[in-house]
Amino acid sequence: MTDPGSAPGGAPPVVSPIADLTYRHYDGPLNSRAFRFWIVALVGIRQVMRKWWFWLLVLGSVWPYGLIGFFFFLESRLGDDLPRTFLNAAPGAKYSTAFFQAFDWQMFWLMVIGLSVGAASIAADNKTNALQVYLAKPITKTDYLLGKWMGVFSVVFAAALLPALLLYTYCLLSFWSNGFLRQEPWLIFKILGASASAAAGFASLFIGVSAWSRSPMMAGAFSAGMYFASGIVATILWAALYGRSSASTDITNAVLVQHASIGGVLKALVWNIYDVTVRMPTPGRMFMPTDVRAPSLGFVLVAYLAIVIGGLVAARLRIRAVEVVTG
Amino acid sequence: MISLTRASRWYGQVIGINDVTCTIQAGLTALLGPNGAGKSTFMKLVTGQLRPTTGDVRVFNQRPFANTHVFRRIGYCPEIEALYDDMTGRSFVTMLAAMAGIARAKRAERVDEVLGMVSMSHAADRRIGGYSKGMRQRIKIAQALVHDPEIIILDEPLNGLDPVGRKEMTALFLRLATENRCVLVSSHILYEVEQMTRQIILMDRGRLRAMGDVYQIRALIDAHPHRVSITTSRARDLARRLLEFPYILSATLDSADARQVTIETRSPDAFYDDLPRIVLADGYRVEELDSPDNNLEAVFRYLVKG
Repeated sequence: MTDPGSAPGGAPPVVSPIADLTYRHYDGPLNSRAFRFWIVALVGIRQVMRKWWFWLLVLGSVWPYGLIGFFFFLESRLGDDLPRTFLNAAPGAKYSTAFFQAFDWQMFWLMVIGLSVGAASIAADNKTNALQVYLAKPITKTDYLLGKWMGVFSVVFAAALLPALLLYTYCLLSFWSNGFLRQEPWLIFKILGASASAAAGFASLFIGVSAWSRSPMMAGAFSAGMYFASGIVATILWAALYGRSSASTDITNAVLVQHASIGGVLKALVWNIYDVTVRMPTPGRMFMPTDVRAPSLGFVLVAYLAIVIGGLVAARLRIRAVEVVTG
Repeated sequence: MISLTRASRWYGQVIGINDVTCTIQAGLTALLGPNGAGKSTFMKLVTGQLRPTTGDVRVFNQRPFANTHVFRRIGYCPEIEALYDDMTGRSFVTMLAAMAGIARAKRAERVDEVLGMVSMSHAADRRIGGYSKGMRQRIKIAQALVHDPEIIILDEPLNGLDPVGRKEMTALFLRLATENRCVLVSSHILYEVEQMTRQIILMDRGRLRAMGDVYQIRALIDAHPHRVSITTSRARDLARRLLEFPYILSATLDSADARQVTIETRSPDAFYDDLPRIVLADGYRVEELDSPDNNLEAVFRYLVKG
């Protein structure tokens, strides 16, 4: 039995060369607005995942955990022959210290990944006027903002979390018998919290800057400039205020000033989450590192919330479909 | 479907639209006006992308500004480029179909349908960056139609289209209008608008100058008498004969073509009633009858350019 629409002899069906331009109705179901922000997020995620250089950045963000994993592997083989490092930090904080160290090395790469996704996200829409189309669809500005934010957050969060989870799995499998879980039962939550808070900080900052630009390049340059300039200013302040002091009371303040930058705040928050002691150069004793605790959580949280909320508010103020030129 | 009541929108000291009151029902309506007339502001108010400074804008009896319930029922094709060069036409329309709420199971099928409607099926999987201006325009129209809206707002939708494309899209808009949808099209190409519809909204410097059937509007423009040109071998005789009627204001013989006489009248209906009788009674052989200013261009010229 031959399908009446198909050509005889199994040949493909005959298609009219004249296009069928009749209007057809859509009678299928319509989804509710819930989670529509995720569509906006997916666009950003898919776009960046198609770029080859993005994967180079991801590779860059993986190596710190690879290196730490290698140290752990060496330690398991060489034991006490390995020189003193973070691997034999304070009891009960060995793995947290290692993960924090890896995060510290990874942070630059997370910043660049966040920059590559976030700086262009709204600026590209401003440039192409895509907001006029987006915001004529049944989504709100909040859906749009949340979608853009989630796009950046998800990518940075995944880049921060996945290598950490791999290392965690390695540690879990290799050091189970050494009391890995018993010594640091909360480590997995610390990893999740650290990855999420860094990703949220970067996402908010870059989205906030991106919303105010019509050029992804300019938004990227400005964001990077802010990030590095605040770091340089904090370092200069740190050196100027505490460079010659060796008083132990100054160490706490010195660490606080040293982290009075965008990157510093994010790192300080993660440091608080891991709650570890870090051996670092301190004022007046540059070549005699001291064990120091994280800066005060209260100050850090205030600064962190200022970055996150400030970025989101800046973006929300600027998102509109129409470029209103006042005269 | 759409109503504006004393709606105004200022941008600082610049007026977008000023004290506009009008109602738009189902069918195809053309929004006309020179550059800066306020057409785009009008469309952005209706699509809920701007809030009126004063007055009220209602779509489906709801305020459209940031109203997702209204957005669900509106399709908007902006004049300016609003596409991502990196995406394919299909992925762009699919993304906006998802935003419009088209269910995942039906999305691909619906996107195929609208791409077919705008004759873009063959190029749907190419990058938008490689599209011609006409193809980009078709994709913008496709995304406006993908969720089967009841109101379709098209800002200069024929820009960049070739003659075949213009004809196809015009036919599509007309089909949409006959399905009890409200199609609002802005254009500055009066000839094309005239092919599409007689219903117009004419704006100038932010104000609504006229609204309704273009021929009725023309009939109401008293300041400019209607001109009718008649080509006949006895043009001088006909001119003399027509001047006997009180509603004929003037009769001018064409200096270049002695067979053509142009009359001016304020009562075109009476003239068109009497003309066949005169022609038959006196045996004039009329070769051509033309009313050069009974069209959209004349209305536009008289109302906008004074």
